[in-house]
Amino acid sequence: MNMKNNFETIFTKAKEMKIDPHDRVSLKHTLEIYMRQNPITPPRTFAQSVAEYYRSYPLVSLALAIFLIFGGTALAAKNSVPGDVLYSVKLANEKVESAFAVGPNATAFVEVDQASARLEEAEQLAVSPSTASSTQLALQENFDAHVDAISKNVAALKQAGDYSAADTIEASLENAIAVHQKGFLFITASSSDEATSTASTTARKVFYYKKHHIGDPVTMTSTTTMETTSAGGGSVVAGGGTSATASTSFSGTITSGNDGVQPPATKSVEIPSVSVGIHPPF
Amino acid sequence: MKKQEEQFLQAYEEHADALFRYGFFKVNDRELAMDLLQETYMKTWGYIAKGGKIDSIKSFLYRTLSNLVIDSYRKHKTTSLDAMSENEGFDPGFDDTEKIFDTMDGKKAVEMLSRLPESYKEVLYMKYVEDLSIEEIADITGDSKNAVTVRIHRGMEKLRTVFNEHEK
Repeated sequence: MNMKNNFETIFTKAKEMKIDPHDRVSLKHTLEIYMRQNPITPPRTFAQSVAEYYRSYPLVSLALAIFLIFGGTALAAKNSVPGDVLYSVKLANEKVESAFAVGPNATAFVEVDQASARLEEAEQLAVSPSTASSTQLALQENFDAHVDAISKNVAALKQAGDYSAADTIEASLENAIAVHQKGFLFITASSSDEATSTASTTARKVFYYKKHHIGDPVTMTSTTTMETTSAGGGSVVAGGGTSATASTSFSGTITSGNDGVQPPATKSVEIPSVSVGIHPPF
Repeated sequence: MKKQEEQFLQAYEEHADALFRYGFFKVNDRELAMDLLQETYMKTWGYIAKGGKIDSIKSFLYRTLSNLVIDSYRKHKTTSLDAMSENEGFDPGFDDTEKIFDTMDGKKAVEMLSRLPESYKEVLYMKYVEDLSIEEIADITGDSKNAVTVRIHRGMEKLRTVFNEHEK
């Protein structure tokens, strides 16, 4: 007998193995019952599937509805300016945004974003002829609050030794101010009383010092004092007095430059030129 | 709708024996093979009833059964998989080969085949017992057609060697 045929015989023989005829029939019967119990469900359309999904998960659909309504509103609110109906929504959204920022770095960045948004709005308002002074003031207060928050967080970062992060934040604020210079001037011009708005003075300081790449206002103060003392005094007159800090000398200059006579617009435009005026003595 | 039911029952008539044999070939247990066969058809019907698309019912049934067999291995931890490593030679387990071929029935033949080296037995079985095409085998095992061809070729070579040695 040929051996090759032998193992091929196994294959052939194997084919003969079958289900027991009785089992075969009973299994078929079982299957028929099973098929009747589980009939083919007509294929659902996409809309039907979606509807069924939301019916079985009511919370999901509720969340979706809320998202659609508020998401749409939030999107529309993003481009609103003070005085618009949706402006309060925008501010509320910013509060949420701030709440999600954790740590001085993230918080500062959000604050810079929001301060920048104020500048943007101010820029838009500056173009429109009729803006209520209350609106302008509110805008300024909001902006000042953001700048305050930025300063605090930057200080915290510096305390933690993260100078590069602090620099980045200051640079981005400075950049925002530079980009929206018109808005910045519009906001700062709104101040009726210079002395009370310390924050906007801070912002102006940041703007000024950053613009001229002089460095940190705090460092500046000590340098000024040192220089004036060594020079024997008298050369720095702008703020008056050798012990004057940089901030007082600065704001003092603005007030003296204004004399309270000129219209706000001219006053605000003057700031840079005045600044340049005091620059050399430093 | 009626049509799909008819087709499914036809698939039962056509493939039930082969699938049962394949199940037995894998698990070496008549009862278990029968249970697996029933589950295979029920699962496949469940898939069809839910609107699932099946290209080839034959391949689909084999794949389903194959997966169920693997599941049952996990459940019962049979030794049939471990018992046979590739290095172990194939031992038909009979001394008087010629005599056994005369009296051998289908069940014994399948049992013998299930003792083939693990890496070849599946493809050899599908090819020579169930007469599946290379394409169908590749579809069921998830390998490429080339891999299947090579494995069949090597398996046959090994089988020839074993049987020639046995003769001497």
